[in-house]
Amino acid sequence: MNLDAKFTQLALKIRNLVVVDVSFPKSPFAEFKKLYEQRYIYMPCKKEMVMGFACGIASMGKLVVIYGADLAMEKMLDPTLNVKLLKESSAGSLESLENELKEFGPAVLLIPPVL
Amino acid sequence: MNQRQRELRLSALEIICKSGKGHSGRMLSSIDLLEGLYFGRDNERQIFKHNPHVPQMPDRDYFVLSKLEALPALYAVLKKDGHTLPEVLPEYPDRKVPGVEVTTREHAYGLSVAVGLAESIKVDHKNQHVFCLVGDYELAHGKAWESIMTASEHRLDRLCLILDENDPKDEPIQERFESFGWKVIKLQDAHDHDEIAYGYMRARLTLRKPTCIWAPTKKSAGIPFAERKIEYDDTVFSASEMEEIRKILL
Repeated sequence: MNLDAKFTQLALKIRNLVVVDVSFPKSPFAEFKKLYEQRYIYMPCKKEMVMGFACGIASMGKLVVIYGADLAMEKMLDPTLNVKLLKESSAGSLESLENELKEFGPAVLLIPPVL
Repeated sequence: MNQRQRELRLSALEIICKSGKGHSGRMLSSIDLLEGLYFGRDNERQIFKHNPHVPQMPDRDYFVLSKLEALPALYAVLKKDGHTLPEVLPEYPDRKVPGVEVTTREHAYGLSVAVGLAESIKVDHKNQHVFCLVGDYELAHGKAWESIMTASEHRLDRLCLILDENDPKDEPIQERFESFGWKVIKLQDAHDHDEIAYGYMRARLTLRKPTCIWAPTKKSAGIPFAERKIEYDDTVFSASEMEEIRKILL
């Protein structure tokens, strides 16, 4: 199962899941975007403001996942918000993603490299 | 200047004196903008929906302080408004303080959070507004312009940016914001309660685009001996100066 399919599946279970995608030029969330247009925000290259933007959305009780930005979690100034950062790594796995997403609080989640 | 504006000035300056550090002149340029927001009324109805006794009221409007130097002004306004503030006030905006919505320590970070809040309000079809106070120097940051661009691209009409321009540099602010698709409301007198409140009321009525309230303010406004004098921008007033300020304001 690829990242897009995994998130599309998870969005059914996690109703407050929002994906903020800053990747460029190609986004890997085509299916997710099609099914959950309101919960997918594409803002290519806006890496400076994405953390604050995600925190604003999370302040309203949502679980926000940022994809495509090589950010440090320290950039997030409020540790009480539910913002997760996806980071590509060969050590990453999609199996544990659901449990990791359900844990409250900011975190960096490792995912397998997207081809 | 009305009585409440005078009292708030004194209260905010006392907060700065107590903490021993602050930016008195820069803070005083913003205080009337906050007073207009929290105490402005439209036919006895609040312009900024909030309840100091229930700070987490679900359908409240949001105020985000991006201009960090104005924090003592926000504390003074919240106190006057009836919020219960802790004995020791944090040096930076912190969500743990009742009435403060966003934790921030960086310039222009608050603006990007405000855009996120407005995005969420739009997606959830809620009847709430987000007001964000930004200093003119924050527009030098890349993330401020990314946020401004995102707000207009997403047509966040529930967002109102209050630009405190206390250091005019002849920059084409109106043209810049309008070219990004924003509505701009310029205040003629950015220290007049009625004009400020009317500006917010007009901002609430804007549809399909975000609003920027452009407020050309004066540093150290309301303190005649310090007004527009650069040496008072980032200072803490001395005990004798505070005594003189008390005589002027009360």
